[in-house]
Amino acid sequence: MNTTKKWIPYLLISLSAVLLLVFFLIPFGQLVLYSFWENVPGSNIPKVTFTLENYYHLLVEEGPYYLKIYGTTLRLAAIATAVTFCVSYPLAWYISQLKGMAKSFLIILMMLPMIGGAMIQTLGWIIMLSPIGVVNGLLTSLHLIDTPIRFLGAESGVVIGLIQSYIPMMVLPLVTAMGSLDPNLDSAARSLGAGFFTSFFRITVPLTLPGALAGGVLVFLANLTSFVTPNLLGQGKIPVFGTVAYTQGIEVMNYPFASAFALFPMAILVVGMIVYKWILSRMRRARQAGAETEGRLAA
Amino acid sequence: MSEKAGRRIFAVISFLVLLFTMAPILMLFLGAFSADNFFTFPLRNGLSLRWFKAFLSSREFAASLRVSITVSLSATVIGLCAGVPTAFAIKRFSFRGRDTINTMVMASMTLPRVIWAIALLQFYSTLHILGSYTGLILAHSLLVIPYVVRMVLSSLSFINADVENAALSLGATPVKTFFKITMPLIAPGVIVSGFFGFVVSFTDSVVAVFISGVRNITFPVRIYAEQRGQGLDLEAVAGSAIIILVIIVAEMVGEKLFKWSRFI
Amino acid sequence: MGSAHENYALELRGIEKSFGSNRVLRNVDLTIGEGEFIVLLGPSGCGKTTLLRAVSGLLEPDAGKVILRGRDITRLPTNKRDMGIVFQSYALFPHMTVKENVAFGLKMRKTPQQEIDQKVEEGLRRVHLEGYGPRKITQMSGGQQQRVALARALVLNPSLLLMDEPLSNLDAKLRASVRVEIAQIQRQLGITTIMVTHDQVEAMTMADRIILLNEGVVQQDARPVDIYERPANQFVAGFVGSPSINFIMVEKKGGRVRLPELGLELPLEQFLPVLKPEDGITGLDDGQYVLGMRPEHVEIDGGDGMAAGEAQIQYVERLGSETLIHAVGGEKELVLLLPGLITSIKSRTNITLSFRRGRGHLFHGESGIRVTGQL
Repeated sequence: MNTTKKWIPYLLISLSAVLLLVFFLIPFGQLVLYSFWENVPGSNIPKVTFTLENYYHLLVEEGPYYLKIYGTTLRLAAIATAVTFCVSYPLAWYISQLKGMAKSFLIILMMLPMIGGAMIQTLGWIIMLSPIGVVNGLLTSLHLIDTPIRFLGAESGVVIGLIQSYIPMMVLPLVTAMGSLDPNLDSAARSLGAGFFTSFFRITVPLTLPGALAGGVLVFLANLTSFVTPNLLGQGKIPVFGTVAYTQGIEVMNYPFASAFALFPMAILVVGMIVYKWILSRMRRARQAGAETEGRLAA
Repeated sequence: MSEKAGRRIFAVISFLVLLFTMAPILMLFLGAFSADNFFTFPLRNGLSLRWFKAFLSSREFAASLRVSITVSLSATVIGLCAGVPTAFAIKRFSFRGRDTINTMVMASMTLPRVIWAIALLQFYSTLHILGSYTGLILAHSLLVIPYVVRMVLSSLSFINADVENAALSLGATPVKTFFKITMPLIAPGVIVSGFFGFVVSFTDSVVAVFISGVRNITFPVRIYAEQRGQGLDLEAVAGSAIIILVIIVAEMVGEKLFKWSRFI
Repeated sequence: MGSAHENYALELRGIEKSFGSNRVLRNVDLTIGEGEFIVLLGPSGCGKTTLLRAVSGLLEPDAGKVILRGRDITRLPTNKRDMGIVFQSYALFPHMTVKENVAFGLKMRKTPQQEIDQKVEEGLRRVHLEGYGPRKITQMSGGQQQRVALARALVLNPSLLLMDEPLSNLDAKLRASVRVEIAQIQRQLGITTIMVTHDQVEAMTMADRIILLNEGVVQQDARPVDIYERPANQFVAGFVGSPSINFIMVEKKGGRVRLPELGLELPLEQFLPVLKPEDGITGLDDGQYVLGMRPEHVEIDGGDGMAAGEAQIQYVERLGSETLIHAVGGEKELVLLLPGLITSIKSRTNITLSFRRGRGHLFHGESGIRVTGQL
């Protein structure tokens, strides 16, 4: 839109910008600063100085304990993400094949866990996985087991909960990605002799993989930082990033240390992304150089 | 492998996965109707509405619902007032900082909520507004804004940009153009995003747990507190079942009216 | 420029527009008289739509002036310019009825309701859509939507009517009839009009004057007949005319002229009569040139035309009203256009070509500019 008043767009974004600045950027800035400041016991205002004490405590003094927590978190998140990724593909494909009301209905269903929130889902899982819950009750009455399987308070329960939580987050973008594929591609593959699964794994999957991987990264991130699900399903016995962050922040109230604990993974993430982009651009440059050389040789 | 067999296998897998995804919600309804004092399976005393009654007569839950509705409603209003103009600016104007604001809005949605909650906790405690109503509302508005911006951007892309130019050429001021032409056309997207924003704020159990303090307890925080206390609380289960039902009905009505599923 | 104070409806002076490093409009000057129907013609990317948007105010030029009836409106926002615009996509308001669409501009001017009703009826009648007022836009066909867009722009009786490829979304048959309708309406109302199109048939049939653009530069600004008969350069000659003009390379050395692609060589005196007498060419410097012969001026075994050698027919297209012959003479592919349905000519036969006297266009080999006058 061409208007003579240049300040109009800035006026339009002003409310969002202010809110984002005050309630998003500044708190994060404070988080970073706090992680380098010194904790003053009994007060929630740390001493303004520059110290690496918090990180030292995190990674060296209590290193084994906290690194083990990070490790557990990574492990559980990786397992949950991998399973979510695999099971989401068939479901996403099935939904993308539907039309009209059936498709809308399934999308509505898929949205429920997402917007219903983790709390509500977790309650349902407790009902399912408790020692006197549905799964154990079913298995016992069918005489398949003698003693109830311990899901709650164990890693298995947490992972199951994590897998289910984010299936919609994986499925919905995949449905969109599959929807934007040219439907004739599949027909073309069939006309050249490909069977159902061949076409799926050689055409559909590769073409939707970029979108799927992007969704997978988001799911992985969500699993890493999940709080309610591990907290309630783990019954406090499975310490992961989210639950320990809560403990440090609310119960222990050592803000500088809590900040360091929360930021350390983020720092790794940011460094990882920078490295990833650097590798990507190196690969691109190598490919271009290769292509140029080929061109020169051919000419 | 034949076409039909392949499709059937995928359909079966899909059904199982769907079942798995919806399982907790289904279980919620099972538990809500249980007549027992605590949940066991198989149900010993059959079905009953006692827990619904208990939930509806619980003063704590009623209070928490009131808090949640107030907070989420306010956050949604603020989120819409902030998000709609922002989306419009991003789509229809080119200005320095356009990419920045776009990235920031999207970042606030993808950034892990727990880390943000800790940052907010520390920030609020420094400002001594921990546990305040306003603080909660403003923080929640940031939950709403990205949903609004995303959906309104999507709605705007469905409108032919020249329609606004046509209005201008016919003598309408930019403001008139926005209200008479753009708004009516993006209204469905705005309403749907408002709905989603409201629900996201209503069901938030992370940010609220960290910053809502003792006085202003939202519905999810109340559930959380009950869980930590006595284990599986069937009152909470019944309440959650009601909420889910409301959401389902609202989703279906919304779909009928606005066909929002195409925005996803 | 800066000559007498003639009353132009629209003047463009030195319009410049770049998108990033892409210089889309380069120092464009234009004048349009009242009631003229101007067509901006050119291939995609030539800058014609950008120019139209600059005139309408939807785009601000980097440099230059837009002057409407003597008033400098370069900085004026779109909603204050007195222009009607018909967009390529029609841009009708989907949530309003036909009547509400057409009435919109009048409403913005706070016209009393009675006057609105009357003017809308009149406007709809003009585009043959009487009674369609209450219909919803989504119920109208493409052709009908186009007319609503036109009615909506005209009902305000603007100083200038701008149309951006109004016919491109219509199917071929509809295009032909709507073309005529638009031209008739314009003549009736006498409204100054600028239309953008890439279709040379539209340009040739509708325009009082064609402004042909390529890469942001005006190639020629003239009446359709002049564009066709005296193209200013090779680009113009090649762009206008269907099938495209035949270009043949020409080398002049001493008193001889060579057409290497056809394997021909002949004295200058035998070559010059092929060229248009209006160009007044009596001699040529040594060098490279390009000869343009329109397909309808390339003949078979013609009497007093310039002999152009042997050719073999590759393919014959019989359109009913005319016949196209694709032939190869020497190394050159040529197209011939003959009137009527000719069944006697078959492919793989050999023919003798001849170029009709006084119909050839000559262009300088390097610059592509038309050759004229004494040398």
